[in-house]
Amino acid sequence: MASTSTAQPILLPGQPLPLNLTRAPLPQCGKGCYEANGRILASVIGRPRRDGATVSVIGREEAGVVPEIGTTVIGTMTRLTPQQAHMTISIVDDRPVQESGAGDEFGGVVRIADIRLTERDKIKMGECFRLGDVVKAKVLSLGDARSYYLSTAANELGVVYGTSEAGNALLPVSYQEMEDAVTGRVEKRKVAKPEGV
Amino acid sequence: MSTFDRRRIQAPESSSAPAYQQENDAGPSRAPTAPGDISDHPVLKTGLINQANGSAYIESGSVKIACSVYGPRPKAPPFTPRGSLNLELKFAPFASHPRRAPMRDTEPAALSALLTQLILPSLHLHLLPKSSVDVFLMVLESDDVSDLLGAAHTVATAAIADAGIAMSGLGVGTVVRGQEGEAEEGGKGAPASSVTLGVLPALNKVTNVWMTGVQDIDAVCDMIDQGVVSAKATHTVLAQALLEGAEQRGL
Repeated sequence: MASTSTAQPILLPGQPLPLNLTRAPLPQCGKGCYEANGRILASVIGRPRRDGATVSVIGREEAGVVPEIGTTVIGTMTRLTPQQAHMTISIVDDRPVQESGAGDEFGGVVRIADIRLTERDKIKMGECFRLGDVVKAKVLSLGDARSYYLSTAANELGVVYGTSEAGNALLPVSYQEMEDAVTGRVEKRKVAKPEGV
Repeated sequence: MSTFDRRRIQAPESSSAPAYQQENDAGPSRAPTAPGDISDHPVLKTGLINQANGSAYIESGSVKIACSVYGPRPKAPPFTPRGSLNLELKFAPFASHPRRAPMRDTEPAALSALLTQLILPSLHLHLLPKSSVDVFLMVLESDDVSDLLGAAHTVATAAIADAGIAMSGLGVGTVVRGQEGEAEEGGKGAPASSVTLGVLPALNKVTNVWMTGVQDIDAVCDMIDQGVVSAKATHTVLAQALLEGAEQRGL
């Protein structure tokens, strides 16, 4: 099938994609390739593949990644205010962010109105996130110099892992409750729906 | 006594190279210096530095350079909608004859700036907002600046491609040397000219031209054309090395 990538040859930057993948109707450029003079050329070293109307070049798995609008990021809460929750992003679309030499990090901020879709005027930050929570969020925009703007307003977004006040792991119970794995005490969070549930 | 650097044991003030027997193959590398010469085909290998995102090593004529690339990684404010390229070219103290003093002669800012201009047009930095790509080059052996820039361009491209950073095409550097000028009465001839080019052979584009010496305009245009043609040979070597590196990584 045209969507398998194992049979395709490795392309180098500047090399045009093979004709069998760029047959009419001309596909859109996905990751790893770009359009120039009516042809689609690869921009990274990798194998091309076509998924429906989009063609892309799959490069190295360990290549560095940068948050883009619409990507899913996972990060750790570092600072909470009544209006915003700040976090440092460590994973983008299942790939780790590269460490910076000077210790700079990609920051993200979840504004109070973007935490959830229902009852947005009655949200209390302390019942959604706590310091040190590992949170899955979606990138809304590039934001400012320090942080991307993120949103957790979806079922599968929110706290993935947290530590209870007693210091034990928290396990998800419902969309707004997590329970201490050892003592069983329930704490309120904006919980992400676990995968496969 | 000028002890500029107290942290190191200073090398002796004067030293001489060991004398090799004629029939022995060992000895310092020799650079092609005949007029009209084009750089020899380089030897390239990628992936030798594990802790970097991408790396490459080149031996071209008498030039040896190791390059490592880190990125894309987060960058401190101010906010940049496009990624930034930080390129640093450093010489090892033993890289040229005579020996360079550490910290004083080993970090020429002009060469780093020139090399940045050679590489910048080929990168897709608009895809990496708020991030930086850091390229570090360490010159292990070099006697000629023009040769050095050409080889440095090629090895930096290899390392950036190895790191998986998006580029328009593979950029290679070539050097074309011109004839030495006519000698005037009683004086030396005009200095031999050389043209260093950054070329994207896949797209038939030139990223930058750097010329030294004195030469006629027509001759310079010929040298540029010659450089674009010879870049294709270097591009083939670069492509081969990148494909081997990719297969070794199990792409």
